[in-house]
This record gives sequence, C-alpha cells and structure tokens, in this order.
Amino acid sequence: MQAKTIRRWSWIHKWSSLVCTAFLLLLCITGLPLIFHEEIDELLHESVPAAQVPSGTPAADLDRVVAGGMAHAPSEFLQFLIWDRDDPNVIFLSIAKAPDAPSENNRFLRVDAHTAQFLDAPDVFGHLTYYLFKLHVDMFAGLPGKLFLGFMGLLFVVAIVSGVVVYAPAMRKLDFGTVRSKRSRLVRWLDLHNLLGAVTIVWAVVVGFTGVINTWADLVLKMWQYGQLTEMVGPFKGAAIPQQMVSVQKAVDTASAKLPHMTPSFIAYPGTAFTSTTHYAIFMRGNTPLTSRLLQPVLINARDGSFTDTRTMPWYVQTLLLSQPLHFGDYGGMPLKIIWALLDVLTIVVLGSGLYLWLARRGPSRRASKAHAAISAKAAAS
Amino acid sequence: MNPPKRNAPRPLSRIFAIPLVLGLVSGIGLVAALVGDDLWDAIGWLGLGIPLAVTVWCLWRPKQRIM
Repeated sequence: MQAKTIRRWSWIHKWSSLVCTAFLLLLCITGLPLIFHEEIDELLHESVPAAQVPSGTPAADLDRVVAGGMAHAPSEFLQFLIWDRDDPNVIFLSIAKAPDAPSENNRFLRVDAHTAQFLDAPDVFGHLTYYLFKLHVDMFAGLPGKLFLGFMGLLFVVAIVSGVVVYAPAMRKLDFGTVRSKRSRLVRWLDLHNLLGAVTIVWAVVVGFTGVINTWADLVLKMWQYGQLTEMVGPFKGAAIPQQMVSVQKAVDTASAKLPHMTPSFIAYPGTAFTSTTHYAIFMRGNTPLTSRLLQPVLINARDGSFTDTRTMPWYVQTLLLSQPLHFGDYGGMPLKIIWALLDVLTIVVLGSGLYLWLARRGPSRRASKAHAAISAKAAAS
Repeated sequence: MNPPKRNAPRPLSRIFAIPLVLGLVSGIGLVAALVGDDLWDAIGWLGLGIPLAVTVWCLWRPKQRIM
C-alpha cells in the first residue's frame, strides 16, 4: 500500500472514531446492563407471579383476560394486547387515555393468561432499565436523538472498516495477537487495540449496523402505514372507531384459522399506529426461532368480526424485525447474553484505547508528538 | 516464526489469515443461534466463544503479560 493511501485511511479512521467515540462509549456502557434487562428487573422490582399450570392447560378466553385487566383501569383504553415472549403465562395490556392517543407513555397491566386474573401494573417508567433504555435509544431526545445515534453508529462502522485497512501496515512485522509487553505504554495499548479490534470486528459491525437499522424503526413504521397498511385497509380508511367491538377472542380465532401455522404475538386495537381506525390487527408470528421474529398482520373488522386482509410484511419491515435479535443478543439463551456482554466489554476497551492512543500521540507539544510518531514508526518497524 | 525471519514483512494474506478465520466463525455463530435452538444455539456459543478464547490466550500466554 502506498504511504499516501495509508495516510488517507488513517485520517478517516482517526476522525470517524473521534467523532463517535463518546457516544459509542455511552451506547456500550448503557447497553451492557440492558443485555440483562429482564434479570435486572426481576431482581430490583417485585412482580406478582402468574399461576403455575401444567403444560397443555388451555388459555383463558381473551375477552375474560381483557375484562380482568381493564376492571383495574376503568377510565383508560386498551391499545395493545401482547403475549409475553418470556413468560407464556402472562399477557400484557398496554393502555392509554384515548384509543388513538400516542402510545409512547402507555401503562402496562399484567394479566394471568390462564386464570384471566389481574396480576399487577408495573411502573416501567420508574425502572432503572427504563432510564438506561432511553439513554441508549435516544438520549431522551426523541426521534432526532435516535437518528443522531444512528449516524454515530454509521461512523462507528466507517471507523471499523478504515481500522481494517490501517491494521495491515501496523501488523506488517508482527504475528497476530502480539502484545509487546516490554515496550512503552503507547505500544502496548496499540497492540491491545489491534488485537481486540480484530477479534470483535464481525460482532461489532453486526451489532453496530443492526443498531443503526433500529434507529430507523419509526420511519419504517411510517413507510408501512402509508404503504401496505393503507392498501390493506382500502375503503375502510378514516372510518370512525367503533363504540362496540366484536369479541377479540373471535377475532383471534378467525386470524388463526387464516394462518394455522402461526401463533398470535400481539393485537393492535383500532385507532393505534399499527392498524386502521376500525380493525383489530392480529400480528401472527412463525414458530421457529427465525420465523418467530417475523410478523404477519391479519386485519379483522372490529365492527362485525369479518376478515379483511392479510399480507406478508414488506422487506424493509422484515429487515428491521430480523435486525432486532442480532442487536439485542436475546436469541441464544443466557450463554449468548454473557458472550454479548464480554464482547461489549472488549469493545469498550477498543474505544478507550483508541481514545488514549490519540491523546498520547497528540502530546503536549509538536516536539512530543514527533517523538511519539518516531516511537510508533519504530514500533511498527520492529 | 523462525527467529531469523521474525522481522521480515508479512504478506497481506498472512496478516489477515487469523482475523479472517475469527471473523468467519463469529459470523457463523451469529447466524447459527438465530436459525434454531439447542444444537444451533451451541454452535452460536462456540462460534462467538472462539474469538474470546483466542483473546484470552493472546493476553495470558506465557511471557506475554500485557501489564
């Protein structure tokens, strides 16, 4: 490689890293506990357990589940009914002040899926994991914060790619994984930076880029609303939210009959962002680890219970849905979560050592920085 | 690896050989755990665990203490 090319890539590596490092440190540090958010919530917050029932116990009628929960929130409206992925004995009811109110600040009610008994209403906004989550997702700055962090994520990917290019001249005379322990601190940290960068690279690119995709979730939802959802709703667009709705259990039965090989994942009630003003949208998922991440909505007219339409979701929604497990690391049990955490810690060291290398090479004066340059040149040559 | 050749420049294929293998096993691990459960999960743990094991070995092998 020509010296000019190396200098150019070094410049890209330096500046893409410097701009994003502080935010990437925030993301890695808040992301670390979020890998274990369920365990942390369980540890810090009491919750009423659902009844332990023998496997094969039939689920309670959903209309009873809804009635059991909503009796504890008489002046509020049900927006989403969600089957708990982690605990099949629990159903979440996501409720708001109006059927078509924004859903960001919804309260949650937990209801027993078999007995239809109300369990509790966890105060999720008071949970530590909620603050970490908000810091991680948008720094409490809404969509602009999200998109900004997404841009930082893109810079992170640029930093990784340019890091691969500058890795070659740095390792020209070294075996893989060499840490020159008897050399100056700068050389040791350079070696550590190169080693840890090299071992975490694929994981970091995948987690980094799927994180970027996740920052576009709101935009993806908007695209789907204006595209496929509008087509599916057709002439029902703009209809009034029904005062009386048909049985939600019947709606789910109809949806399950249409897609017998799928399992209901959540239901969006009329007026919410995931459906029209007059349909239940029953979102069905597949039954393998991969297809259980993919959703297919079935629109059921909430006025009369008739089937309106179902379609597989467009590629941009599927991409978002598949990118989620790859970002969260929640798809391979506890061992995968621990591996996620360890790789996250290594990434923190890569970020920190990169920052240190920049500071140390900058030095207090030009003379010092020239001396450092000489040291690193010598280091690279030896 | 012989002492006289230690300082000879390595070709790119040599520099990137191990990182490439580690990248491949990481990639296989990332996808495998997504495809299925049980055995697939185990392949996932192994694939992503190998780069971690290599890191530990590089840092704590004899005579190579970093601090």
